[in-house]
Amino acid sequence: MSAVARRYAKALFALARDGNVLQPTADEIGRLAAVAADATVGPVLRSPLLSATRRHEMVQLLSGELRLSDLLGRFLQLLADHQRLGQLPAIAEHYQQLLDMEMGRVRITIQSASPLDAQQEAGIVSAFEKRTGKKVIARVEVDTDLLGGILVEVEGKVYDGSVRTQLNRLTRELSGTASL
Amino acid sequence: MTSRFLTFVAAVVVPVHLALASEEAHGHQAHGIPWNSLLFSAINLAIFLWVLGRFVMPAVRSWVAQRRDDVLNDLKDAAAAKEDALRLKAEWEARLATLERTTAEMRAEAQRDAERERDRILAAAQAAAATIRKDAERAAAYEIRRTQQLLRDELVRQAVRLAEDATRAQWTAADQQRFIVDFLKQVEQ
Repeated sequence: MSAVARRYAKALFALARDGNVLQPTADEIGRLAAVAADATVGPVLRSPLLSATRRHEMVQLLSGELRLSDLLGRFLQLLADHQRLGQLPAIAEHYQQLLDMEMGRVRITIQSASPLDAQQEAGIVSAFEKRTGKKVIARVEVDTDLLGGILVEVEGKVYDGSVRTQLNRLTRELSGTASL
Repeated sequence: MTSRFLTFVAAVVVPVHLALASEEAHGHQAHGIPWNSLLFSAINLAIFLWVLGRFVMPAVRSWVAQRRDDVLNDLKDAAAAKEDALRLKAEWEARLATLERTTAEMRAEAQRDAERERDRILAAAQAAAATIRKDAERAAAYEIRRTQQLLRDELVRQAVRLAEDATRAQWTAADQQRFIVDFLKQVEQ
């Protein structure tokens, strides 16, 4: 994530906090980031060949279609003026981190070899809430390549309890006992 | 010299010749000893002898002396050549006398050189053979280790594949639950 994106995210976050619209702004910029990350729209937003007029027209169109708040509309205009529309996904990600910190919560990704039931997911969330001391927002992904068990990623740290990793470790240990 | 000789001949021979011519003209009738003719012959002989002694003999004497010197020099040269020949003969006789010994020494030296060269070549060949053997042993050991490692890797790969297949086939919800419980215990620790 670039320093530019962090600066814009901090500025937007400060304005949203002043306006007491932290969560609505997060939702809006999340939608914006999804549009900006689109394979068709993204290259157009990042294109340096786009004229200022065309950029403003595009921003107005996006604001109307996504029914953005006045704050987000102005913020988008600012990005267009400074040709930073391509930074939208990174800004949204950092805004979300700032919001999570503000709200005292953390996002985790749970990868499981098979779908988790509600009780299992709740148990995992509870365990990580205890470990981090924050409210946990979990996203669950199914990855059959894990063979069995789960793998949890929290703030850039990976907790691995998968069969795949244990087999890989076993392979390394067995192959490495008499390496050349 | 020549002009003096011609003057002398003209002074002596011409009057005598004239006298003889006059006597022949007047005295054909006289008999007895021909004094004039005798005198003339004597004078001719004297002139001849004088010319001989004056002009021919010095050259002959000089030629003889020169010839004698040449002969003496030739004799000296021949003596010197003979001495050289004798000296060479003595020298070669001495060489011939020591030829066998020299030949034997040369043969022995050549044999010693050949033996030294043979020993050197043998030592070099043995060293090269030892190096080649050591390299071959090292390469063989490496190959053995590499093959062992390949075999071990293959065995492990097959074992892991079997384990994966078995896990996929036999993994149950209870296994997943047990894994999650164990995992959460580790997280909480």
